[in-house]
Amino acid sequence: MIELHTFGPIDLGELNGAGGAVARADLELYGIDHFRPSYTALVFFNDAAVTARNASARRRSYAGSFSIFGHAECLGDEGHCAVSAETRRFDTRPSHPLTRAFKRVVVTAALARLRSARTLTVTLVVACDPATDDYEADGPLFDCRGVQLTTFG
Amino acid sequence: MAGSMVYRLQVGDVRAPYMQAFAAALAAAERRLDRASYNTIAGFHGAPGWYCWHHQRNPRTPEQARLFLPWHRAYLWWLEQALQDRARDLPPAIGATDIALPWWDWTAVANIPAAYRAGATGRARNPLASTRAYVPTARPPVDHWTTRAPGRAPFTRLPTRAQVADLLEDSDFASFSDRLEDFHDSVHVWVGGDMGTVSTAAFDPVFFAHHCMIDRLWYLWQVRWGITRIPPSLLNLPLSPFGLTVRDTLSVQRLGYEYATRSVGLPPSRPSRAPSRRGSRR
Repeated sequence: MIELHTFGPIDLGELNGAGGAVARADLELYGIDHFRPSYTALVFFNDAAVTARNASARRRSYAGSFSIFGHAECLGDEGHCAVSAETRRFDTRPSHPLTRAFKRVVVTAALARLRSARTLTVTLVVACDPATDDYEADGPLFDCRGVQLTTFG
Repeated sequence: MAGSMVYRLQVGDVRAPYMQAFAAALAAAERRLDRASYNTIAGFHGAPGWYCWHHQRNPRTPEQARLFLPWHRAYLWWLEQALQDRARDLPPAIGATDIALPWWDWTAVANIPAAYRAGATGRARNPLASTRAYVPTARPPVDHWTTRAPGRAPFTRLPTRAQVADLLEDSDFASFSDRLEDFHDSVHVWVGGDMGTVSTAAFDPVFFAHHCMIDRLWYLWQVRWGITRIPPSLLNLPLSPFGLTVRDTLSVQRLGYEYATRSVGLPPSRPSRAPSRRGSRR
């Protein structure tokens, strides 16, 4: 199974207007559902031509990658894998193992190559082992609540 | 020497004494059915214990979330202690060798290490190649021999030496932990099979060789940046079910081990008597 997810565009004018030089840039992905098979995602910047067939770390638009070590399937009774949004005052136990995850991808070099670009569109090409893509979870393989670009001076 | 600090060495030839001792202790633990069994300890990670700590669980509250490295250090320590318990079950020649977890440097060996493959020992079953994952309380019950599918997942590569060198330059614990965890994730995906899912990964013995490498990289980072470089708010958090806190895991020496690339014992000394001055005058 291979999926494409596209985010953006966002305006890079302010970033490049400040001289464009950043010490580090991170692509941060919030709230990733990892009740999924494990997978790897390749990250591309401003590449409308990237597809499941031609995605590769050798493309000039390649910005980085990340992997998710997933939980794949439930091995418990009903409700075992349900993450409750409710928090009780005296429940200080560790959070549920399936609480959504955070990832960062360092994209400093890739962002530096976009010095002349006015906008940024991010494309993720996500794939899991073909032997595991019959998972039963609802929704796509890659499911996150937000993506943001953060730069550090 | 039994009871002293041990050196964790790189996975080597299965005939090397330290590999033989490790494999024999693991096989002894695999044969057990009690709480000291390999199966029970493997079950701490995923099914049925679910104690492991992965990913950053609480978005925007990093102090509460980055327990990945401390938890897995405690986990390795627990298994290593359990294997050292097994020294008494081993033939004296093997049991006298330090039992320590070996590390798989996937930047140098871009394959499952030979010692962890079937047939590596010449015996009917290599205890490092596969174990029986048995969790009768799971729904559905788990009962199978672990498998792998190295390199089958698309886009997935093992981390490179250059990537590791760049990572060790990252002086911020949060960033270092997140990035190292991503290397860790990619190796799990690359190995595939049981290693590719949190639920059963630790039943595969190569899990611990992989995590030993992760722990070693944290150790190398600590050598460079200091062991106190961690958010203070993490220090007193418990690491279940090991009875340790994050603070307890910061020093590997306190946990009874260090990492080395090689450790070779010297032959016993052969006393010799130098000619005395008086004798030389004759």
